Amino acid sequence: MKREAVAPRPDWPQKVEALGLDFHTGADGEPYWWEAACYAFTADEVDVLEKATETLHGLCLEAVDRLVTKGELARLDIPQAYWPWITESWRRRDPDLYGRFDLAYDGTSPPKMLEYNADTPTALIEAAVVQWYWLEEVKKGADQFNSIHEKLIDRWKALRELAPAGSRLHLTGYFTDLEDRRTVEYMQDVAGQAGWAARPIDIADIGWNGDIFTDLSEAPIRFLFKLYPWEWLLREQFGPRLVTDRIGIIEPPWKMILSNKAILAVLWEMFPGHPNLLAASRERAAITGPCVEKPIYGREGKDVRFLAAREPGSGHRGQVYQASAPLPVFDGWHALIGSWVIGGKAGGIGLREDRDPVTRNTSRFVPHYFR
Amino acid sequence: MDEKTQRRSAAVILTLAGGLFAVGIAAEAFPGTEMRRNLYNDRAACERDYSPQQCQPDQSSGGSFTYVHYYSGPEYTANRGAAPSGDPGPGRTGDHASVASSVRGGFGGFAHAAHAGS
Repeated sequence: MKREAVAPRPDWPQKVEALGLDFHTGADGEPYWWEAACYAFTADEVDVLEKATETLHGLCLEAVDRLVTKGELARLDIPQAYWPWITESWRRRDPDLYGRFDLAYDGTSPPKMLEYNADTPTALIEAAVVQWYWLEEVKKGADQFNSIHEKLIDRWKALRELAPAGSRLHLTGYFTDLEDRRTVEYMQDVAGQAGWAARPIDIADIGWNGDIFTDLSEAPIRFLFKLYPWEWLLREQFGPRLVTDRIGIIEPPWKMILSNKAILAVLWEMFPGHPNLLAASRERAAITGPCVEKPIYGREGKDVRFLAAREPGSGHRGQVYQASAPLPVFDGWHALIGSWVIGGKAGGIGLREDRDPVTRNTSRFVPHYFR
Repeated sequence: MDEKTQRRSAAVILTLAGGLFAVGIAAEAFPGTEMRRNLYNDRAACERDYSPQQCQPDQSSGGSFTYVHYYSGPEYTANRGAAPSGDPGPGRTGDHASVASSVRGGFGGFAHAAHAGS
């Protein structure tokens, strides 16, 4: 694994915008999409990432099963009223679509799981589409660990076969946020290619008619893809309605168990010493040496704190402590690998880099290839 | 490199790019005509208002996916003065369990607050 300088395409802004990435530059003028560099892997390294990703997904499913079977959802601070509903979702094995592991990997040591964005993963268009077109043009003849687009279409086809013929799919998110809006549009595209009649609806426009959720045409919402966190949905006005309305939601309710960072402590408890896991606990004292304190519902690096050895944690409720696994640094950039899981299979990776050790939503996305 | 062993998508085609992406989603997603749909507890009640073909059971074929149970009549234009010819109308009996007419804004509060604060 190495970082290489590469000449950016002169007209790259127009090219990535045409693919839906019109948020390639932040409001502060800092680039988000960065193609003056790329990461190069070997085929063996890609094999390692693929295997680690599918292994971790398997461990996560075992953890869900244990928490549900043993009635331990209290460990995740999920409101008790929702436990039976989540439990039933898992017992039915409601189908899921995708997720993204954040991995620390330097090309030498085993990849380490930092967290699992199992509910509302983003950086999707850039990983599935934009870096693919970059490869076609800039690194022709090389390969890329990225069949995300194909796998999404295949998965949407499989989901469609589980639904009644002619079912409509609604896709929702907070469309004021441009990235969320574009991601939902992309998901509408791949679902449409899989044969779904798909229609987007802003999260605030979802209606409740007393019996069922509806769209702006008063049509029933029967199957819903949501780019909106479960922990928010449950705590909003319509949250309790989710339990009474039998709507098929992607990601399904059981996925909120995995998007909760408290799962890190459960995984370490179940699989101590696993080469792809880091020691983690809800108690700071249980982690020896330097560690990272994370809110269990934190997103995009918000409120992540590095703690030196012997440095106490905040003691706030709703935190998890994870042994430190510094990201590898290339040319002064800390590199994080986002490894996608689609229908339970590893689908490819996207790389983010930042001068800071914590990856945030402003951290650059950099394309990759391998030979 | 052998196509069979490649780890990248063979093709990445966007059917909406240049259309949806270019003009935004509002026009397609949010039609300006307000529609209504009657919901019935059973098929017989629905068929007193509409033809059998217009009464749809809302149920899944089973399996692991979730499902809902009721019968729905066809969508009709809420503003009867603007209804096009062929619009099925609201039915005559008033026998439906409910007219789909929804309260909105029950989701999105956290995102709005988070966005306003960022």
